[in-house]
Amino acid sequence: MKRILLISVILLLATALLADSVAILSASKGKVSLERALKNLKFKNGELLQNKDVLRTGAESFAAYKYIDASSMIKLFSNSVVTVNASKEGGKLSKKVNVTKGSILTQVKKGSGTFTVQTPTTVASVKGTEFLTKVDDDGFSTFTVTDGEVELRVLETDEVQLVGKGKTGIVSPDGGIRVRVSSADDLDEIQKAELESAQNEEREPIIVPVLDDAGNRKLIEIHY
Amino acid sequence: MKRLLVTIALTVPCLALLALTALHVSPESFVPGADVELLLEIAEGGTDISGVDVQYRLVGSTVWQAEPMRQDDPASTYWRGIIPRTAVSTNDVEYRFEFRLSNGAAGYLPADDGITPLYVLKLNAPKGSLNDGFVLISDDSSISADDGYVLAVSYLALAEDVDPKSIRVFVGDRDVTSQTQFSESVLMYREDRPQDGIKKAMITAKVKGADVYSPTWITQILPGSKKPALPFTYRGSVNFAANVYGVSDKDKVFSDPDDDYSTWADLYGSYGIADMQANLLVSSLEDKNSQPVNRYTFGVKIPLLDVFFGDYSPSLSQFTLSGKNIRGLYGKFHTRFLELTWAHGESVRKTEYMASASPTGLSTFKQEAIAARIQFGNDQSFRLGITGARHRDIRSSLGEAYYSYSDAKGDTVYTVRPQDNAVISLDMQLNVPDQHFLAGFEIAGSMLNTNTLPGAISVEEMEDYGLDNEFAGIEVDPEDYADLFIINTNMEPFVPSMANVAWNAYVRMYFWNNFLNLQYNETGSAFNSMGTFGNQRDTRVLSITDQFSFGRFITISGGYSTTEDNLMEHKSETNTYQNIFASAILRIPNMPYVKASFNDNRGENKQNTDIEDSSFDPITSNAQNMSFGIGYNIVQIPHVPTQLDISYRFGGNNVKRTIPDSYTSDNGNSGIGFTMNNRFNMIPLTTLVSYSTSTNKDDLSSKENKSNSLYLKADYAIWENRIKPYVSYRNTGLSGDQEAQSYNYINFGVESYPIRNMTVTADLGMKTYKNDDDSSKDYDTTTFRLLLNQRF
Repeated sequence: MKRILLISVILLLATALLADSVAILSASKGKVSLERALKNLKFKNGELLQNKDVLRTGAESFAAYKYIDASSMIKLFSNSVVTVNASKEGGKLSKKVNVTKGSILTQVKKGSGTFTVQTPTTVASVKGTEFLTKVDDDGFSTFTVTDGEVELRVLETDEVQLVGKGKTGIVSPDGGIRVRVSSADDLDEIQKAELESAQNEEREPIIVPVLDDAGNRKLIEIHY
Repeated sequence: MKRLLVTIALTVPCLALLALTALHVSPESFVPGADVELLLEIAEGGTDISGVDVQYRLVGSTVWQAEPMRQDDPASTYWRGIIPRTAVSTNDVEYRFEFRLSNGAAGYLPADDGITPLYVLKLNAPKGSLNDGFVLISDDSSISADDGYVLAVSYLALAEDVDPKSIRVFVGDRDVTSQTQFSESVLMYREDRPQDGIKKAMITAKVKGADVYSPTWITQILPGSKKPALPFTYRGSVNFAANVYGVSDKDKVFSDPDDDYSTWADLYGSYGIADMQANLLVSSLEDKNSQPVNRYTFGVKIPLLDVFFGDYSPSLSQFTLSGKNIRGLYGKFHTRFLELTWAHGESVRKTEYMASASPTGLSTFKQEAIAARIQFGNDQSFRLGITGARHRDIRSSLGEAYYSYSDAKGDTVYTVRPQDNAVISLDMQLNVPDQHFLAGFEIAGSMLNTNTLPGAISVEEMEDYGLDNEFAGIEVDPEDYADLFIINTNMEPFVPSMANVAWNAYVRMYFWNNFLNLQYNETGSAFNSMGTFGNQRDTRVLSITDQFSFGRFITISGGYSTTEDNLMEHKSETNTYQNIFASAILRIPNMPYVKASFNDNRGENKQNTDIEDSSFDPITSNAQNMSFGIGYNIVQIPHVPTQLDISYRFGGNNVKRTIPDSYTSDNGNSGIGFTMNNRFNMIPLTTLVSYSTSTNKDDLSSKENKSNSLYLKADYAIWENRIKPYVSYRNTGLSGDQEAQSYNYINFGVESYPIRNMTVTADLGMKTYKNDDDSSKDYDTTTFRLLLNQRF
């Protein structure tokens, strides 16, 4: 009987921990799906994300989420698959983004808990960095750093390489790693992805309500 | 215009037309989750007040909600009230005081004159300290209403120390904790179709037992392009009250009230472009021969049309229909250039009935009230309006015993007669908002038939009275127009004249921090308007008031008014009254506030030389009063922040005959008022001590009467503020050259908040009257009150 109780308590605790929210979905455009415990969920912007949640974007789609310590923003571009992971360590959040496919842009503030981005071949550890991670169909992982520094560790060989601002690290499916100066194409790729996500947004006019001297409500429309 | 919107934190106005001087220091701010406590001092005219309400609403809203204020004790100059915590969240709140006088008139502080600003409360930091452990993760500062409003806040760093049950979430105008989704270290609140505008959000909580609060997050919500989903938003309350009375000796009390029970509900909602309200009050005190107590109202407002059914108190113009309840239909079609108003229903008129030759009691005549108004222009620029109102007693509404009796000879004597009253007025107003200038004028004429029982006069009777029934070449038969107005020999006066006319003119302006108000009013001796209160017949009144404000630090008010009767010179003497008042409040931040007021009233009668009256007795009357006060919110006292207010007043009044030169009365008076409110930090205890003493000395008889009143109250909140038992004690003693008497009141009660937005208050009060000079007059009463209030 005691064992059953103990197991029940452990299961309850585990469920509670699993059910804890670790991030918030701050934007989604186009075809975006959210998978939790192998089930697709209906969601809205502002949805709280839990550990092991999987976000998928389709063609010409975009999603963005933020961890609950407000230290980082992850933007998913078209045709990407990401698993959200985080755990609490001493009042700080240890965050991990698993990228299976596609491109993500990661913006991390300094001074927050550990932050890693993992691809099938590589773990990228970052502190106060902005960089693009890309996993292509051939299994190559590309890390283009635009700010700060990223430490790449190849899973198969445990080889470690630092990638600084303006550099791009490429890890091949067999574990080979190469760091080079980012080309115009690499940077263009970030701009292109950002542009694509922005174009997906409907450019609706901004309407600002104001009161005139007589107290009547007027609307100013700003088209841009 | 902006300057006009500046909050007047200190207001010392004299409600000149109501003869009241009220002093109020606004708290200026509110704390989410806490009642806003308001203290009002009536420095002059307090005895005329039958009740005071504090009316409040969110800035931008058009619907007022009200909470009654309580006088510390019947002799006290202090009135207390609250704006309940449920009404304040993060949005600005504006409020005013409504005074109801025993003569039925009502007035507002600040004045409802279209130019004096209301009191405004702004969000203040709650108690405790700012904690940056609350991190906003939904940080869009500007969103479209189409996207929905999301407040997502992480408190990861506080997760282990925060008491989750203590977290309260305030968004916009309400506490949204119950609609918020919580996980271990993050909370989220969502509105799918938020209203456009500015939305503020804040969180309060307890961390390691200490109060903390988050920063205030502001989001601008832009109007969406999607068609509105027409969400129905609503708020209101359902209430029940019971009063059960017990009296030790019914013969010794002035009144032995019956137990009474009442229930009422208020609902205010909006659906798309429509705002609606529904109010219902049902009381066991309802009696068809008395003033109605039950009330019901249903109203809808859409952009061009307002429609109300049931009880409503429309104000069409000052002389025709203003503030008097009508049960029926009210409609107003309004555009920027044209306004049409219609009110039709039942009103009531208090009557005094007789079962013999002497007055026996009060009853009520029901009246058919009809009023209509057409207005060109609007309040923001120029308007011209024509208003007509008619009140006709409904003969069948009053039982025979209430309007007639049979005398000793068996003849029927009519003691109350049905009347017919019609008023028509023309008014205009010019408003120049850019110049802060407003001027207006209204002239009205009335007709009153004091007895419609005989019906309309016939043409033959008119000829008997030598009256011509031809007007402008058209023969007029009053019987043809009896449905409109009954004309007969009971018209007062028989032939209309200037005595039937009333007019007023006013100028209001704002300049150099002054709110200046000039008003002149003349009311003829035969002017009657049953749709209004307080029109003093046969008088002219000139009133000048000014309120000067310097920021939030100083407000000085002053005014002069003169009233003269015998306008038509029909009486043998003319009475004139003059009033001068001045008052000021000075408040320097973190220092005590200081207040003072002065009132001077003088009156005299003059002989009308056109009418010889040998009994003319020239007299003068004088009354002067001054008061000084000081108050302070003493936050420096460790653990017991204390709100203190002390005032001292003195004055005198006399009536003097000039021939021979002698006083008929000569009195002096003085008094002290003291109130102290303590809120203990370490324990949930609140105490109130209020003391007032006054001395009235008659210098002619050298008699001196004293009155002392002490009021003590303590409440102690338990079970996370859900239950608040309290006890209060009041003692009022009368001594000096009068019968030594004392009134003792002890009340035990409990306020409880058993479920969200519900308040249950039970109060048992025991009153003991003791007359030290004549113990046979002693008596005891008990009162049990129960109040249930569920807000939504």
